[in-house]
Formats: sequence, structure tokens, C-alpha cells
Amino acid sequence: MATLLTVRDLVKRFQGVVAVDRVNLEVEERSIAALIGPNGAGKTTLFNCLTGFYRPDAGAIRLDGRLLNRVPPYRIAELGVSRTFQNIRLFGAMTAIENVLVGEHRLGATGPLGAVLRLPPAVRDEHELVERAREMLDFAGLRGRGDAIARSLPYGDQRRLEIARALGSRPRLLLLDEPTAGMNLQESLTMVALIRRIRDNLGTTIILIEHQMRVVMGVSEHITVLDYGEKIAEGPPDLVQRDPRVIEAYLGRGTAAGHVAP
Amino acid sequence: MHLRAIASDRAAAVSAAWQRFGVRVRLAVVVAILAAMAGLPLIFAPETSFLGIPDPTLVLFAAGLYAVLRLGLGWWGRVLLVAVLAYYVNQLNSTQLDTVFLVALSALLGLGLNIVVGYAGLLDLGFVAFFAIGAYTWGTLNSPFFGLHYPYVLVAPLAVALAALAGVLLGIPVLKLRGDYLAIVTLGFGEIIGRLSNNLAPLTGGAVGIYGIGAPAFLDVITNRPLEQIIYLCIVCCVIVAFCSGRLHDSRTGRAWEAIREDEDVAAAMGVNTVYYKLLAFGIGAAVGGLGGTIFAAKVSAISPPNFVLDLSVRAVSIIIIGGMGTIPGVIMGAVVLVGIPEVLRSIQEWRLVIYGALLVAMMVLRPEGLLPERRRALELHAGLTPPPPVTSDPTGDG
Repeated sequence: MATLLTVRDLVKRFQGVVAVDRVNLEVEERSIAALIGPNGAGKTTLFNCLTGFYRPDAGAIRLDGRLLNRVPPYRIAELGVSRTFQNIRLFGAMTAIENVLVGEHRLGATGPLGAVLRLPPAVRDEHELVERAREMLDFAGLRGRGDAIARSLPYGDQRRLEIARALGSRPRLLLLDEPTAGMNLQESLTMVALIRRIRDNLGTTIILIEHQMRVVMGVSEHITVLDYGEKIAEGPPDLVQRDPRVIEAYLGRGTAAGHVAP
Repeated sequence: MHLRAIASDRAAAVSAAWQRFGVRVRLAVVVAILAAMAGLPLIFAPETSFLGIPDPTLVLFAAGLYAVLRLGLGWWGRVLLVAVLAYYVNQLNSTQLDTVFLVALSALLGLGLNIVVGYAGLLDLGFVAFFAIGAYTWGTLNSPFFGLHYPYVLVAPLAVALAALAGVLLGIPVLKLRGDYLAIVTLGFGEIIGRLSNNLAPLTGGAVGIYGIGAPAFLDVITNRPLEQIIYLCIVCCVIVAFCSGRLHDSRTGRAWEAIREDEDVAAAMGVNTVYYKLLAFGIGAAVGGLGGTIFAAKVSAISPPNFVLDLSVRAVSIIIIGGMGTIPGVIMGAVVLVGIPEVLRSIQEWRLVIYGALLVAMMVLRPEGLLPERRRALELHAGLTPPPPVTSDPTGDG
């Protein structure tokens, strides 16, 4: 398998605080990778660097060999990187399907003049987008919810809608920031199934930030652990789970010592 | 018809009670109201007062307008409405025409600014600048000031282009500003244009201004009353702008604007080129402002710096808010209420502004969503059907 995303010695500082400290990362095409670590470890900061929200202070981010460091967020989205947010950030006053249609922005071809004239190509373009958006809503388990105002949807549906919106652009790389935050076990399992289907059916590469270990261990093929901005471990789930440094980062030194050598 | 399905949701609110009636009933009611509106000049002599209302036909016409906009009009209904309006304008005396002109011009400006404020959510308080650019363009190119008398059909596109250019130029430095900060900077831009009109005497006539400005000549074929001609011109411009902005709203472009209004960062993350769409909104809005300026100059025939003050920008924003943020019928109704009522109340003299102020306060308390809001916004502000989940908006929350 080819490597889709390569991160080399990435550094992001905030006035002296090093939020991301020389992190290296490689993500294989069509894989599901997880990014874990305690609160404040720099996971979301890393996502923000990957999507152009932050400009890294040093290092390189490459998507399929293309340097993303100084590319603006909308261009990164056009290049095929899409994301969801830790605290759901839907376009609350828009309907569910309109949210997905915004996600599909890069697939549309109709400009302002085309919109005013509404000639057959523009109408066809719009129909295709709406059709795709409906498919995406169905795919995310939101069939029949298209005309609901996003803000009015139940919490779980909002999370799913955010994913449907992110998938709208047919991304090559999908970044999910805590997709199961605030969900109970049943909802989390549904979400895990959706994440799998995204990879299997759409061929999308996925990186997720996750706190629920059950989800992380169940769905991801490769795990990277961050702590204080540094990568402290990586590998397949079963190895990472047993890594003493990971246990220490999560539970503290004393506990870790006791855990490793009972 | 997916397009229709989406458009219907985005259209102005049609009250739920009316939805239950069949299309035919609604059609009949709309036609009846339109017919009554057309018949108003036959019922009332122009200067009468009725039940203490100073100018009953204007008030009743406005009420009829509100009713049909509220019920919703198909394209045929809109054509009919414009026809009724044209017939009605033809029957009015010159005082009433003055009122109608102010309303129509305000509606045009409101429709233009609505693209910036209502669609893209960019609070622009410097709209008067583009209005001034349009006014001075027509003023200098068709008056004794330079001795130039170019035809309107040539100058109007130039004025529109100049105003659009100014809109984009203003947009560039404020791209990174949001909310209050954006409002303050655009406010400053409006002031700069005001000063320029005062101090750039070789081009603007300074404090004296420009006088003897001509009116578009091509309308003589319709009617020989100049004011009536200008109103028709203004209505035609309103129709064109309303049509274009309606289509823009229900399109990829409109969704991009709406996404920027909702959450600019996320819009960018979804592939929306926020710089382009914001400048586009500024440019189109400014272009309409410039168009309004040419019509204004053509009507008043003399322009000077006091015509181009902050008040006009504020009024345009108020029209959009009173009307119902972002809807075209709302902007039209906002102009009718905000500009028309004070004019009609003029005969009550000293109580005029008191009543006007009380109306505005009552309006914002009882109907914060505006006169003709989008249905979803009305839902949001009333009833509390679905309390929004506690979502923080920390743009970069780390975890």
C-alpha cells in the first residue's frame, strides 16, 4: 500500500508552549489510523495543522508528495482532505442536506453567473449535487432527515451529519475529531460501523482522534500516541495497549510502574 | 424536482394555516387582494383621509402588499404584482409619488445590501459609499458640471462597475475582520467617501455639489411625468436585482455565502474559497448601491455631501433586519414599513417620530425575526421547539 500522508518533524508552538513537538507520522492509503493521548497532548492541534487552520512552525506535511504547509484551508479541502470537529460545528441554521451540499462545494461547477442564468448545465449540476447529497445522507444513516434544520437534529444525528458533510467532497483523507464523544456504547458501536463502511465502501483513508479505548482498539489498524506534543508510541493496537509509556501517560507514573511489574 | 423542494424551504414563510388550504384557494385570495390593490385609486380620492389614516391608499396598498408577500407568490403572481404596482403608481399625485419613490429606492438599496448582510452575514455599515459613487458618476456625466450629457444606458453600467470595484477594494482589507470590527471599518469607509465628496471639489463640486443633473431620457415613451419615470426605472431595477439575488441564494453560491455566515472557518474547511465569496458579496452589493445612487441623482437633480451620510447605511441595514434577515419579500416590506410609514405619518407632524419609534420597539419585541423571515429563522426565535445543544464555538479547541 502506498503512503497517503507523511508528516515530518512537525512543530507548532503557541507563545512558548510547544503544542506539537517534532511529530512524525505516516498514514497508508485506505487505512484507519488513530491518534490518541491525554487531554492537551496536541491531537487537535495536529489536525488543525493538517487542514491548514494553523501554519506549522517547522516540519513538513505532505499529501501524496504534495507539500501542504502553506496551503490555505479551502485548497487543502479541494486537494481531498476533509474533517469533522470535536465540538460539533454544523451550519446550524441550514438544513441537513444543505450542510452536505456545502461539503460538496468543490464538486460543483456553477458560478454566480451560471446560478443567475440557470441554464441547463447549471440545473443538471445542481441536480447531481442534490442526488449525491441524498446518497451521502443515506450512507451516514440519515435517510429522510435531509430537510431537518441541522441544529434541531438529535446529538448523534448531528455527529453523523458532520461526517456526511465531510464526505460530501469525496475526500481521500478524512479526519475525525472524537467521532464518538458523548455517545453511549450502542451509539459508539453504530459509529464504529459507519467508520468501517466509509473506508470499505468509499475507499477513504481515515485518521481519528478518540478517547474511548473500545472504539480505538476496535476500529483502528495503526495507533499513534501523543503526550505533551510528542509522539511517545505507535504501532498496531495490541502493541500500543501494552506499551508502558502509554500507560504512564494515561494513568501516571506510579500506576504504570505497578501495572507493568505487578 | 429537487431544486423546487429546496427552494420552497428557503422561500419566505407561508403561514402554516394557509398551507392547509389548497393551492387554488390561495391563488384566488392572492388574485382578489391584488385586484383590490389595483382598485384602490378608484375608491379613494388621492387627498382624502379614512378612519384617521392620512393617506389611506398608500397604507392599504402596503397592507395588501404584505398580505400577498406573506401568502407567497408564484412567478405569475410576481408579474401580476408588478403590473398592479405600475398601474397604481400611474394614479398617484406627486406627493404620493415622492413617498413611493423613497420606498422603491430604499427597497433597491436594501436588496443590494441584503446580499452582503443577509446572505453572507457581513455587517457592512459603509453602504452609503457605493451609493455616493453611483450618484456622483451619473451626476458628473450628465450635468452642466463638466458639460457632459452621456445617456443613462451608458453611464449606469459604468457607475455599477465603479461601485463594484470600490466594493471589492473595501473588501480586501477587511477580509480578516468579523462582526463588530468589520462594521467599524466599513463605517469608516463610508465616512471617507463622505469626506472625499466634500474635498475632492474638482470631481464632486465640493460642498456646493453638482446640480442640474439630467434624468434618463429613454423613459419619455412611457409617461411624461419625470418622477413616475424614475419610479418605473427603480421598480425595474428592483425586479432585476430581486430576481438575480433570489437565484443566487438558491444556488451553490448562495450556500457558500450562508456557510460563511454560519461559520467561516468550517466553510473554508469544506472547500469554500471564503476570500472569493466574501469579495463577490461585497462587489455585488456595492454594484446595486451604485445603481441606486444613479437613480437617486437622476431624481433629485442636485447632489451634495449632506446626501451621503451614515444615516443612509444604517437605514439600509435596518430595512433588512426589520424585514427579516435575508429574504427578498422581507426587504421589500422592510422598506415599505421603515421608509413608507414615516412619510405617510408626516401629516401627523409632531407625533410622527414617537409613533414610529414605538412601532419599531414593538416590532423588535414581538417579532424579532422580522416581518417576512425565513421559516427556519422564525422557528428558531419562537416557541423554543428545539433548544440548541450546548455547543461551544472555540475554533481550535485542543483535546
